[in-house]
Amino acid sequence: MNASPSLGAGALAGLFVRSRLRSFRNGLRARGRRRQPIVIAIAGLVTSLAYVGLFSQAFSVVVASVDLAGQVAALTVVAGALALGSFSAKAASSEAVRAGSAENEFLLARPVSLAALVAGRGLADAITDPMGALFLFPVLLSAALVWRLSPAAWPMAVAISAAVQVSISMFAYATQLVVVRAIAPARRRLVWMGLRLCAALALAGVWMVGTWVLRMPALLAAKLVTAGPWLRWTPGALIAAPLAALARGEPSWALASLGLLWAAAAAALFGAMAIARRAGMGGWEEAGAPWAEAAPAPRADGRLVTAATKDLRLIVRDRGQLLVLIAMPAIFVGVQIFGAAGWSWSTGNLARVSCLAYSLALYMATIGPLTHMQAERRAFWILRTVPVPLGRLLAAKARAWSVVVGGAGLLVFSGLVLVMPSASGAAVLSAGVLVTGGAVAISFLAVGMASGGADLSDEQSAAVGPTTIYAFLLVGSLYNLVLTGDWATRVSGLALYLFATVAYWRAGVARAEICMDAEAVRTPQLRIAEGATLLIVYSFGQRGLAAIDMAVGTEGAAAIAVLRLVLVLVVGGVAVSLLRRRPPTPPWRGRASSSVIGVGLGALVALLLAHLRVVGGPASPSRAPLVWLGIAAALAAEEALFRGVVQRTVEEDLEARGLRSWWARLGAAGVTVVLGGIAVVLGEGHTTRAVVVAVAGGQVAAALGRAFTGRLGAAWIARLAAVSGAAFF
Amino acid sequence: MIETVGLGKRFGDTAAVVDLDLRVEAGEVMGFLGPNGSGKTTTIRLLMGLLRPTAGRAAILGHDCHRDAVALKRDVGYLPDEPFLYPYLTGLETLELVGGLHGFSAVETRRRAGALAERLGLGAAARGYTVTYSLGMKKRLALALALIHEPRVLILDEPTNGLDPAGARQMRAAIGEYAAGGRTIFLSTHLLEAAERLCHRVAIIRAGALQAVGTPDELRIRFASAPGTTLEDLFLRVTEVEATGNSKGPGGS
Repeated sequence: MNASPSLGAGALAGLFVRSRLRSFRNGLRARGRRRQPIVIAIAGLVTSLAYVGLFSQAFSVVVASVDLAGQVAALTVVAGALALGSFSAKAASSEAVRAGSAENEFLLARPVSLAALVAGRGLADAITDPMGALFLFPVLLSAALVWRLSPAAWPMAVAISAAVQVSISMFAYATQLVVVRAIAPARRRLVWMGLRLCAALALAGVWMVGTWVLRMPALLAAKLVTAGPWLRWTPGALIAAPLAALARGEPSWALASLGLLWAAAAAALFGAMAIARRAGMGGWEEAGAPWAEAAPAPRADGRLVTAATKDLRLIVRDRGQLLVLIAMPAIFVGVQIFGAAGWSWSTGNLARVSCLAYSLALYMATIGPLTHMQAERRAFWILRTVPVPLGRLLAAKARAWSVVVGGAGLLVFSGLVLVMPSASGAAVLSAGVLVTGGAVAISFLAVGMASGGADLSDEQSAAVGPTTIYAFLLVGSLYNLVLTGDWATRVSGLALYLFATVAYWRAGVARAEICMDAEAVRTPQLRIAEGATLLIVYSFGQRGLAAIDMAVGTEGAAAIAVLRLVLVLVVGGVAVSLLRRRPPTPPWRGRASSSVIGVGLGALVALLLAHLRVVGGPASPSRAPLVWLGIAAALAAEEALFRGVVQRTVEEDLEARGLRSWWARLGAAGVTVVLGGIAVVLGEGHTTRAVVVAVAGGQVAAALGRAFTGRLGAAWIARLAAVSGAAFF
Repeated sequence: MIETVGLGKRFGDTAAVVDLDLRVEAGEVMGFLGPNGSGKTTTIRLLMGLLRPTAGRAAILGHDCHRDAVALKRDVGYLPDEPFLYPYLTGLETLELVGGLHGFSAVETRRRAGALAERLGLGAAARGYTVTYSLGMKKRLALALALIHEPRVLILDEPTNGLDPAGARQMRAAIGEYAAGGRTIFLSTHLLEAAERLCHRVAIIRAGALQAVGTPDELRIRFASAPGTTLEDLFLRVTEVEATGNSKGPGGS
């Protein structure tokens, strides 16, 4: 019997395209947690449109500022940066041609040559992954639109993008092949690390170029005019050439340039295939496998491994992770400084230096302790089968990380203090303590939040998803107010930050207990942690609007009031959706008596406020019916958050800790009143004591209304009665 | 010693374990048999407190497996089906870590780790990263982790799965040695010959429900089999009877 001939690159590319498109189509039809493809598709589309809009705007400024040579230079820089970023990211992170990956093992077990696999995959990428070249296509499209080129330029942009993508894939694959063939396994991990670092720097470069183009396009273009002759010899010039020729009115030259680009892509394709053919399969089967590329075993250092030191050893030994941990935060902060704010502004005073040092610690915590459950992903059973409470194990882990993150924060702060304008020793000391304390606390928050979001029941999904990462960055950024605000803001911010940290820690420990149980982790939860996040979102939103309010003055007051209402309604809506996750606890009083209690409490508070002469000033609302409707809606939304989510979950938590029912209710009421006050201080920025007392009064009435009746409605009535009473008395 | 009462676990619409009533006495070696996907690993994870039961309860040595999971683990050792390990810790370091977590002093932890590494044939590989281990080595290390605190109860999930004949024999010998010491063992396995040799009683589970439990001889009598009938024949008969829906066979549970 004749052996079947091996599959060619074109046929293999066709198979890849068909199977990927089918998989994508199935993903679009999927429901529930498997609906990721549709989310990705929508996000990709929206992001592309946004890029087209943003770059079109920036490029219009370039076009208005400099001549065509300058415009082409700007496009060359952007296209070149995107191509470089895309290439380095692909070469460093893609395991497409490394034999250690499961997919390659699967494919190479068929009659498929490595050369055909490399070429087929690269060609298929150009068709099935239109964003593979890091949004090059939207950028080219924007240039065509701004230059008002004929519609023929659109397919040309597609063809350019596809050619660039094929070239990038081929160069990236060839790089990986050379690494695998030329570097000994024990040294290979070092090379992969180097490639990853290059990728991170290249992507940071892309980010900064993007920032410059969007923030100061005219200035950038003016500077680039002088660099034009040099840029002509970069790969970016080859990418920009076809559209630039069309812009000059030379269509034949445009076609020739496009042909040259595709010739380069073909050369890259055949070059990569030739390298793959030479690489063959000898030794290939081990490439990329962690066991083959592991560093030699360590010398015994005599120190016992503990729950705390385990993570540190794993990081130090997994040098790729170590590199990422050190390099990425520095790159993030570097991009912020050099791409946007500028060095002199960033180090202008003690508060900014504190923020910078803390930001670095926050990014480090995002990459380090926040991803710890990913490191535990497969070995977590070991921690779950020892007779130690998980809370203690997680605390040991957080302590270990706090040394790294806190140390990094302190180190950076100390370095920056030396280059900033002089400040008093006491101020520097207190700022240093605050930065280090915040960095230490952020380690505990990271371990808690990651455990709280961890799902180790499904091998295919990441242990920590993007929602957890964004929520972590949101909660973590609250500490910036502690570093930069006035004393009231600092105290309030610190209190809310600590409340959120404790809430997330407790939620994390509880979740880690069940993180291997698919059913349990997917059961919707209502926890204090969610309430804390909503409070932070609400406070930040109000603070932002207050800042805009101050900037626009009385002219924009009505618009700001509407925006405030929208914000509170959105937050309230989310709170209601959280409440629907769990059935309400049975109230301990009837509807009618609860309403009476609510009115009574509200009236009492209103009388008290009137007696204290707190109301009648800036806290008194207008008496227009539409305003009252808005106030009623806003209070209902606020109550859904404060009483519905926060007070209820705190109450349940206190009861679970063994507190008697009544004490738990009163304790939870007290906590929400304090949080209500904090939200006002943080949300308003600069507020009067009268406003705080008036709002706190309403909060007391509502909190007691909920505590006495167990009804959200009673709390809302109490709050409404307090506000309306205060306005009319 | 080990007791489950009406134990159940559902994953969405799928019932992985249904109303499981089982009792394993002190010093007994109980084989837990069942086809792939029958609920063996889920049951074991419920016993170890790794999963939360949706019905009923399980207890080991009087400790509730869910509510009292921490205290339970002082006396229970566990070998999972796929023993994943921290890739960049060595075998000895992993043993030291777990010894420390069981509360042993540094000296005692090292003594136990060294002794177990030698006894289970980890040899020089114990000083290498676990990422370089073969499956057999990983299983041996995982067994050492399960034994480091000399537990009274040992729960083993497919201990010989994926091992070569020599490795499987070594593993069986280690388990036999441990059983001879009078410890209680709950052993999930596909190797029916080994189960017959090692286990005092066997429980057969299918589609999450217990089908039969008893000594191999009792099961032979219950299913009216000839004295020479192997456990494999019995296993196939019990599971096939249920699979074809004919549950009226002699002794059908």
